[in-house]
Amino acid sequence: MIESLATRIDPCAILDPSACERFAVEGRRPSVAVRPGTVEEVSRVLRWARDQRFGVVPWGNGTLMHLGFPPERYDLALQLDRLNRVVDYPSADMTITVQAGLCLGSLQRILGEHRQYLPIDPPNAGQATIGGLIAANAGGPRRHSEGTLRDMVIGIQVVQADGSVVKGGSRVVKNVAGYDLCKLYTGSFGTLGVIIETTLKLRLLPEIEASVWCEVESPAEAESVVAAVLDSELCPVFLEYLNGAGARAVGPAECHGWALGRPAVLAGLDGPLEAAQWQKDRLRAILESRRARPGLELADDVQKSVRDRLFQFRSPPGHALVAKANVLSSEVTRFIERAEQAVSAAGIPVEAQAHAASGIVYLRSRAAPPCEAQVSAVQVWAKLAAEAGGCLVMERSDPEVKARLDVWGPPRSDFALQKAIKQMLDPHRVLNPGRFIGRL
Amino acid sequence: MLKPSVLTQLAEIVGPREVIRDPEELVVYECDAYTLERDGPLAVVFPRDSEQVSRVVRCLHAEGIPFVARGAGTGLSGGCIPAGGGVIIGLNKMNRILEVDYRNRRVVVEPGVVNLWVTQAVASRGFLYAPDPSSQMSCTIGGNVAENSGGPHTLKYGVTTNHVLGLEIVLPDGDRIEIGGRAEGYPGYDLTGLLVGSEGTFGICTRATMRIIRRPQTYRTLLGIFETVDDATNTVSGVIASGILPAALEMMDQLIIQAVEAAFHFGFPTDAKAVLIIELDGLEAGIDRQVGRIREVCVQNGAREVRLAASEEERLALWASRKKAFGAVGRLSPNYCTQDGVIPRTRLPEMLRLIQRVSETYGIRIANVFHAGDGNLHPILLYDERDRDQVRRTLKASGEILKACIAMGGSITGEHGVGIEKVSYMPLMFSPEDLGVMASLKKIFNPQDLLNPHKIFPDSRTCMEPRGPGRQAPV
Repeated sequence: MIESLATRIDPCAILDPSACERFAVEGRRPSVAVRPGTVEEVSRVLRWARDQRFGVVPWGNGTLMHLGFPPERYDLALQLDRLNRVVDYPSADMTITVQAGLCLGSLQRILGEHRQYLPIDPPNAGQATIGGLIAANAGGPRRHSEGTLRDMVIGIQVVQADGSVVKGGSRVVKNVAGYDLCKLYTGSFGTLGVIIETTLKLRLLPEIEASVWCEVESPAEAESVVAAVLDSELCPVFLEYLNGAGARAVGPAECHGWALGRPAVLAGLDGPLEAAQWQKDRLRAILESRRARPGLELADDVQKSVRDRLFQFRSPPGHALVAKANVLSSEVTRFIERAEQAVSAAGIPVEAQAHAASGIVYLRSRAAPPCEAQVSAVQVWAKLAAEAGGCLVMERSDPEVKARLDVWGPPRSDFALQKAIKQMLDPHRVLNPGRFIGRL
Repeated sequence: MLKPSVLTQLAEIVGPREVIRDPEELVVYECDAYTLERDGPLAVVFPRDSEQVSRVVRCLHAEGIPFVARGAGTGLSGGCIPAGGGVIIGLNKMNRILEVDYRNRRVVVEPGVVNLWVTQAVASRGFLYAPDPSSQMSCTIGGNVAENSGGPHTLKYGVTTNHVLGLEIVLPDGDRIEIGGRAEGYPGYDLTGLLVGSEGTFGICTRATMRIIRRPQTYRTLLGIFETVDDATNTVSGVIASGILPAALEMMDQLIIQAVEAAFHFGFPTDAKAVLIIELDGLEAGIDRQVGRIREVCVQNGAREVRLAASEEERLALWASRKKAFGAVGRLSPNYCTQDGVIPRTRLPEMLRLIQRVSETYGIRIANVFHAGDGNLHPILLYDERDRDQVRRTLKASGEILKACIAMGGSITGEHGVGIEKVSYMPLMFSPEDLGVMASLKKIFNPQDLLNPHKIFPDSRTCMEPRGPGRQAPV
């Protein structure tokens, strides 16, 4: 098998078989791993894989590989980290075109020299590649003010399963020519094409960063603070809610003495100096008017570590179970409270983080309860999420648990179209077969 | 002609008074605000709800009759022309705002709701709907969704697609589906993102769930006045590079200034070669420091004068003049056609010089009023449709400008859509493979091509050069 591949690409791009271990997904290993050095090689590899009806898993740096079902077939890992060139950075236009294998850490360093950045804050930001992040439409707390990668990708190039190269969008910030292929490939989890290049819309770095940690007595008080902030003239860059256990995990060390597991609301008030100060004062007044505890403004070094833990929350080392729900903002605190209660009898302690204004919730548990208990926990959470207007996606669990559950939740009324799109663009199911919604 | 049996069926679904079939009344529906090409519908029907839309579509689908959805007809690329004949489904009577949810910052509306009504409905609570196309007093949300409309404030707030969370869609076979929803980020392919901007070729939007945002605490609106176009375009680059993101950054050249001034008497200096409208918004705290910085950039780039709108009334008058600029162009010429190309914003100086050269080469006057901060041009080509040669030169000049946009890595359209107008330019911007993927997607949603045929992509009917005015059907 490897011999026939070696005639098609630079043999050095084919990794030693011992490296396959590195590319395990949910316990499954590929038979061959390839690190192509050119787009042309990506095309050749895919054409070859398609002809053999192989299953291919596109791979950036593997930071989010636990998402989704295990691949149904997994013959080849396609690692794109060698395609990491900056193609064009016209900084005055506030756009950048890069290859997909560039990691976010490097990208932010390059942009930082011009006081610009890409306003996303996914876990493992240093290592995660742009292509992988786009495939997962990964965001973070700042989605409230800046949106997700979906709102930043203005151009995209992919290699299709048949090896052909297709582009969508352009290099300019506004464009409605043709269908918006950027939206189609963003968040498609590598099931429609291998992302190789993208053009991104950039933002200016804020003049200062400011974070205020607001301890609250109860989820209900948290909801009242969140609602009041959203109804005020404050324009936080993020507004996070953490349940008691979540607050303990993320919170600043100086809070730990008196936190005792109280929930918290964390507001990011980045912006021009004067505006940040005004917002801090206004937030204080809001808390006072609700007779809530005064907020704690985080000192710079503390703020940095709190933000790091916040951004990392979704992908923690050593946690057995992580689930993501998308619900209405108004339902966030109640949903989390009910999710905790539903599993407390089973002895599962739940740490929760929510992008409270956007309604994105992460539930995680360090404990690894028996498989049965995990399955029923996820089932009950999914039901609660549906009642709160959204869905539940199980991001991480024991493989055995995943095997027994619908990781992405039940298909919705548009599933026939979703399936038709996959069928049309990857008819032989080469790319990430069986990993995405409905085991596409 | 529609078969009488089809007319009877349509009348049964929507009621006889909601079907237009009189040829004289149908004339209104031959084109939208892009008037270079026209084609008449067989009938126009006005359903009242999504159930009726679905039944109308089912009926036309069964008969194999093409159809197209239409809102206010303010589109600028011929997107709702029934090319080759067909039935127009007018969504104007589905015009209710169904729900306003301030806590979750959502509205749910029917497609015939006028863009500005949304902001008007939520203004008293201090909210607004951000996308603000110049036609916002009449254009509808359904049309905005189809075209992925923009507007001056997209520089900071994004276009329609950044504000739509969910849609109810009637597919071309009459099936109704929900995509997205009231929450953010449902798992699965982003069909909402794909539908928005599909120019009414994938399905008919019968309900939209959209974000509303808090009205900014304050605004500062500056008018920069320039002796040369170059000074103005250099200022645009300077502002973008200044580390301040304006909410809007618009440019008008002398031809437009004069027309707008004659129409609205705002007080624009008619001897200036260009003006920039630069709006900052956000918190009061610190905004005047930013205004100072913007002033400096203007002055450094040779501004003759920088005025600050002194009151909310003055600010609104300034924006009204800007948004009605297209209407004022009627004073300059009996006919005009607007282009919508986009370029990297730092290349505006180069591009405006090129437009000037094109204008001289073809002997066609070109006025410019556009979203400078986004690099989204709107050169307005002035012509008289009675002069066939002028029409021909207008089309050639348009083509040259669009080709230059593509060469700069830009786009042939930033917010008006491809429609029927720019079909022949698509192969210049996209490869056969790119177009192939788009065509496959269309086949999934619209397999028989009954919904809004002959749009966006070249086909045997539309791949020829438009003949121009007087043309009653696509070639």
